[in-house]
Amino acid sequence: MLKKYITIAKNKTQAEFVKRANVLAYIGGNLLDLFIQVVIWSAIFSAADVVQGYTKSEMMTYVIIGWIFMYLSTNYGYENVIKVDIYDGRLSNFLIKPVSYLVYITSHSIGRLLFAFSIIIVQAVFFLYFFRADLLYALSPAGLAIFILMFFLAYFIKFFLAVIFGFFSFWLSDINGAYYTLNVLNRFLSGAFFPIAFLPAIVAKLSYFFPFAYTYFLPMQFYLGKLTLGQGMQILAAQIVWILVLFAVIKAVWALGLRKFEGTGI
Amino acid sequence: MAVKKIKKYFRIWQINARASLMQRMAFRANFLLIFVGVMMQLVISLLFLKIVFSFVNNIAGWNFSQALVVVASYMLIEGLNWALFAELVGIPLSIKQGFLDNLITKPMSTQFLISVWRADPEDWGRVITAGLILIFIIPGLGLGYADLLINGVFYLVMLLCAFAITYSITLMIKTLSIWFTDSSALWMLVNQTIRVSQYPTDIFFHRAVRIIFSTVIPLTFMATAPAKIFLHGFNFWLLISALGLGAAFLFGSRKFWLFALKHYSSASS
Repeated sequence: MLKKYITIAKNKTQAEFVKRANVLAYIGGNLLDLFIQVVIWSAIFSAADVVQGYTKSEMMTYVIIGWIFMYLSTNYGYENVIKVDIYDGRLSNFLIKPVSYLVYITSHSIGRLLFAFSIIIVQAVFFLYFFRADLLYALSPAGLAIFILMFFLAYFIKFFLAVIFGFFSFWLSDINGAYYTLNVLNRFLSGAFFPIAFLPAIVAKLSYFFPFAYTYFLPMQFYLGKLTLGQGMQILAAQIVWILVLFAVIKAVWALGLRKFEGTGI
Repeated sequence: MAVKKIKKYFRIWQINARASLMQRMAFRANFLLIFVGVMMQLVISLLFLKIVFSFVNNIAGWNFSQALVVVASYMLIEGLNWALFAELVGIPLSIKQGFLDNLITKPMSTQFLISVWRADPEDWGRVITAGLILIFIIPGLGLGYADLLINGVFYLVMLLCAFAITYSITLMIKTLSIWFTDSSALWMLVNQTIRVSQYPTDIFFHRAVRIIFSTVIPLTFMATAPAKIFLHGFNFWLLISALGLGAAFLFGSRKFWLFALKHYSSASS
């Protein structure tokens, strides 16, 4: 049963290795993002020892480990893959085969993730070595296990959001605007631009009611030792609840969307 | 004759811009969402800057208002590029789908047509916001009317050069698609690099990085140098370098485009 999906994931990983130059350049571009953040925060910490409760080491760890965490859990545009399947009518192929589209697309994304994983890990080793003096490694073995679990759950939160937006293609002529805005909101409310702690208290509190904070800011707070093991477990629980909620939404949107789908493309 | 030609090209640009707007407005919700996303991105960039300067008075000699001039300059250049020449980014798709064949057969410059065929109207939002930021911060910069006028003129010349450099880099990278089926990765890398120019390049303390950003990838001339001229007045070397680089990049990209067209062997080549 699972074999065919494992094959899909393997095929995708191999296909990604064919386009390795593409992914390498993409990651190279993202490295610049990180580079800029490191330069700016270094400049700030040359004038202050503690900024909004963060020491220089904590902030560098937040930025660098957070960068690795974020890019490992990125879904690389699956809303567009789904959009094209729906618009071009390719979805029909899946409907007549003994394959679940959702499991197919999940296997596909895991295949791509495995490739990204191998590339980012190489970069991560370089960064961890280069910035070793500024980084904190404060996690206990139990904490590390929780942090790794947080990463997998963060991946599925982001992936499920992309799937939901991809399925909106059943109704919308163009989902680019919606997804672009979601992406900006996601990076802002997840703390990827800067820690949520820098925002006014009311905005920071409000962000906990969205899934985004559970994909970057809170896992990183846990990594930095600003949250206890118990609080880490609470974050895991919240991530699982979000995944269940998003999965239920996916099922509902899929069922409604199929009624609209005409099989010839939209 | 030349005036007539310019009028004709201007008219074609107008028609394409209107068609792009109508295309976007056909899917109003999508247009509105893209616009909201673009504006949100701007607000977040400004918020980040505000947060940074709430902890330090200046970074590499730039205070908050001065850094805002750099951000506004970057927004102007980036916004204008998308608002006027969005189709450049779609050159690879135009080649794959055979659309370039269609443009080549038209009795006018293919480079002009491929540049203006699509315009993203939502990006005028960036341009207007950048203008508003400049208007808002000018009183706090301590410039007299005469300084403002003279610096403003040189600033516009610098922006024009920055615009030419950005346009040329985009065209050259996208022209590579005539040989390579997929040059999107290189574009992503270059695009991310250009985004670095929204920060004053003086923050890069390493001399080698500053030299690279002034010559090979002239990020310094995209926003930092225009901002310096606006804030501190005429600087012969900055101005002459910007004019030289702008002309060199425009000339180079034009030659490269013509060279590439000679090697173009129609759709899906």
